[in-house]
Amino acid sequence: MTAPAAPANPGMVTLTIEGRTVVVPPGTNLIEAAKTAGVLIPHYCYHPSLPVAGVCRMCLVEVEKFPKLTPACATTVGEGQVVHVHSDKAREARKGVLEFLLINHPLDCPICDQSGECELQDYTFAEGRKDSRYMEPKRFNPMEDFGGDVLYVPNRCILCTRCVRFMDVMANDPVLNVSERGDRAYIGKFEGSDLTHAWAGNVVDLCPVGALLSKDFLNKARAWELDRAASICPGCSQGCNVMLETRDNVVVRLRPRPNASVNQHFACDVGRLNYRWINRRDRLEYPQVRASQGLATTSWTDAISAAAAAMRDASRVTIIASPSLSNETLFLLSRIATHLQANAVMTVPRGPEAPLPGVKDLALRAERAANATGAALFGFTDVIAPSAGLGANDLVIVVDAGSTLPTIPHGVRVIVIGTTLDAALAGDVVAALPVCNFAEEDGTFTNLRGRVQRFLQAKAPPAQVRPSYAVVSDLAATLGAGSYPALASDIFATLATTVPAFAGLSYRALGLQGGPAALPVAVSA
Amino acid sequence: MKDLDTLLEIADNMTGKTICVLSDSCATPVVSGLKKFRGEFEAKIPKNRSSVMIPSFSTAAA
Repeated sequence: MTAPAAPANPGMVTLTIEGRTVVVPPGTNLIEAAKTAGVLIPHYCYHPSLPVAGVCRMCLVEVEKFPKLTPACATTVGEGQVVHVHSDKAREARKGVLEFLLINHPLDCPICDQSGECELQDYTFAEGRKDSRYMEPKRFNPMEDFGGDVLYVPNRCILCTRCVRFMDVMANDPVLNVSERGDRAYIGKFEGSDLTHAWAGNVVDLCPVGALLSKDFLNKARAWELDRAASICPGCSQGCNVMLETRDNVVVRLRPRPNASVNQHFACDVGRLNYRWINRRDRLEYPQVRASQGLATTSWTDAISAAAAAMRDASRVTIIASPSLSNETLFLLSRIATHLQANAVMTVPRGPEAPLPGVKDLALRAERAANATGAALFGFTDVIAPSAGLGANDLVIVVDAGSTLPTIPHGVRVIVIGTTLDAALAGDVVAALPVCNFAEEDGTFTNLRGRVQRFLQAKAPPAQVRPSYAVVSDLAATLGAGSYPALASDIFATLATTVPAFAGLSYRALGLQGGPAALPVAVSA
Repeated sequence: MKDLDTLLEIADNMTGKTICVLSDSCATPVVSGLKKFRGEFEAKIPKNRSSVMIPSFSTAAA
């Protein structure tokens, strides 16, 4: 045999998978290599963010010149390999593996939360046997509470050990193990410890079957009833990419969306459980202005002009913005602030930082606001008491995005641009303009490393509520602070040409994975 | 009778496809038993009686 010809792509490995030529870097495993060719090799225990275990045997493929079938997850690519994923031999083997996995798996898909997004269901449908040959009674173990947000249903478990590996390697908190062996094996929890790690909720997403369930989402909705929108978690300045899942216009779940540059496949428990405020019903629904007797509902046109008139007449204006507003809204607010020579401030809420040790530069950040970095870029200063020193001559414009409002002393006139109207404030409100929260509008956030990331609308706003950027844009136009486009994407385009940090960025360029803003002070991990 | 084929099929699914080779060694006796003595198994199943005389057994019964 002659020596193989010099590879056409130096430093890369060329192989054939399902008749398709694939060029990948050396060290890539066959599952990832097949993905680049658009071929999905079925797998359970393999997960791109976790170490390889090779225990589920679902990814068996045929590689020419190999004596027997090989697990694709544990096989690295070799020059000139010819891989058959769907050959008869490989399919038969996986059919056998599926039969073994299903021996003790209950037929309870109709009441299982995972149903519809279950890999066991998917692959059984694609490659499994149509019937079962197993006649004996199935093993039964009772459900177990794992602590935190996690419930364990051992009967459904296929022992892929993704959860065990996540807690060991990623969370660095080895709480889970495989207890017993053979057909008695189950995922055990070490005595006295619970899944209380700040990132433990990820084991629910990692579980390919319905064995680990979220208590919060338990029996709430079927996977196929959900509408999904790509979004960004507003919980802290990390900016984890998430998917907002809604059912009948109600957000029922928040799950991580993969982004290799930010959160890989993970989201912390604080982020994933903090979605209920998005659905709150006591919203500010109609524009209101001060009338002879309290606040009166009015049209948007009247409300905007009343608010603008009050701003023009005020001797001193302070804009207190939420650091969780979008870049677009904060940009327009900063324009108004410049025009009115107003004081632009914010208060960034803080909490304890909780890192995920297995991933570089990933943590629940101390800065518990989605866009504090962006707000600072637009000239908002972080102050602890934004309402200190305010008096009767002041007009305060409070702009919230569902976050807690600052307490404002009585007697100070207030314009509220917000999702809710605080009853304590109502006596001093000149105008109240209802706006969307982040799940109801489009926009971008800038995370603490300066990564600008888009979020898309996930649900419809109630009543006459309008997007915050549209309301602020109308105000700016009425005040004479410049006229701005109607769409979030166009406002961002204007922003990109005006603010140097955002130069060259656009919604198209950002896509759904985001892109870096040029921060004036370089920040790095 | 079709259980014999099922046994062979399951044994085949166990051989060379698991992470632990104990699976191979537990399938092997079944496979070789069926390969060498299939006739005896097939004869026993319909009558539920063994076709093999075991000397010590028969003397004890006598």
